[in-house]
Amino acid sequence: MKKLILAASLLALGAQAKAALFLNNNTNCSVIVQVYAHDLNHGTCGLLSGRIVVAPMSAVSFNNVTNLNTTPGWLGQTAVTTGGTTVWGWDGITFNGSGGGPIGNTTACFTTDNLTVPNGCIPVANVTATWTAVSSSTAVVDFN
Amino acid sequence: MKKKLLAAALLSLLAPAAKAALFINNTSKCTVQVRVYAHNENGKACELESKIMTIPPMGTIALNNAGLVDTKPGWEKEMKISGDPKAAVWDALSFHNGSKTLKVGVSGGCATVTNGMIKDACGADLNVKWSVAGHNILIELYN
Repeated sequence: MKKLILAASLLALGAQAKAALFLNNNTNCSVIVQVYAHDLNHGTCGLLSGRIVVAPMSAVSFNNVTNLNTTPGWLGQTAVTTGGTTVWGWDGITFNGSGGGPIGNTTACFTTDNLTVPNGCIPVANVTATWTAVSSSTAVVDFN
Repeated sequence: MKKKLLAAALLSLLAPAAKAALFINNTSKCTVQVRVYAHNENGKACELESKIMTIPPMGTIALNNAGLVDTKPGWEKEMKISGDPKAAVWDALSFHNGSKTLKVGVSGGCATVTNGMIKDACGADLNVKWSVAGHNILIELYN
């Protein structure tokens, strides 16, 4: 019974969490992003997602880490929101293959929150990714 | 003095277009219905009023630029974004619970507050908060 109450409280906490991730591509070239995150069962940067393609002049959004469980997946792992945003959270991204990052929350496991690299289009131009934390647990990544 | 003024004028010309996205995050337990307000580059605040957007609990909307609203869900009075959609500006968001409306947004636009609380359609207290994230606008709806 106590366990049920505990589980219910944790669920309630999870529902209150307001920690979305927004990937916003302002360039004319697609960016390919992999996301780092953590949850109850995975430490900081312990979750790495599959590849997410963000089309030119478009944005994608995720309310919480479970939104990536099916598509694109967490490379064989499953994320949970148990415990709310004091337990789970977004840590960073890597983008456009090995050249882009990782960048992210500098209090997590990365040392920088922005990076400029060549994009994947022809003719090649630079793309700058900037990680911005909002409301302590929501993150916005702009690609310009 | 004149040079400084000229420099300031040049800098403002050089300043990049708004390039602002609108992100909406609903972490409440209730489906929400909202409208967003925007204006074209050199237009009047809130001249564009969107049709209703419906966001389920734990749902999000991410709009890279106001031009995307042209097709989904569209603007009232069949208006469209004119000029560069990246230079259009988000002014406000209004939440409707069936009987009352709460509008949040930038000062000088058509909203008088940046955040507030209202009953949601499920009867719970709902916070509606407008904030700036980089060049973008983030709206959080939560109980």
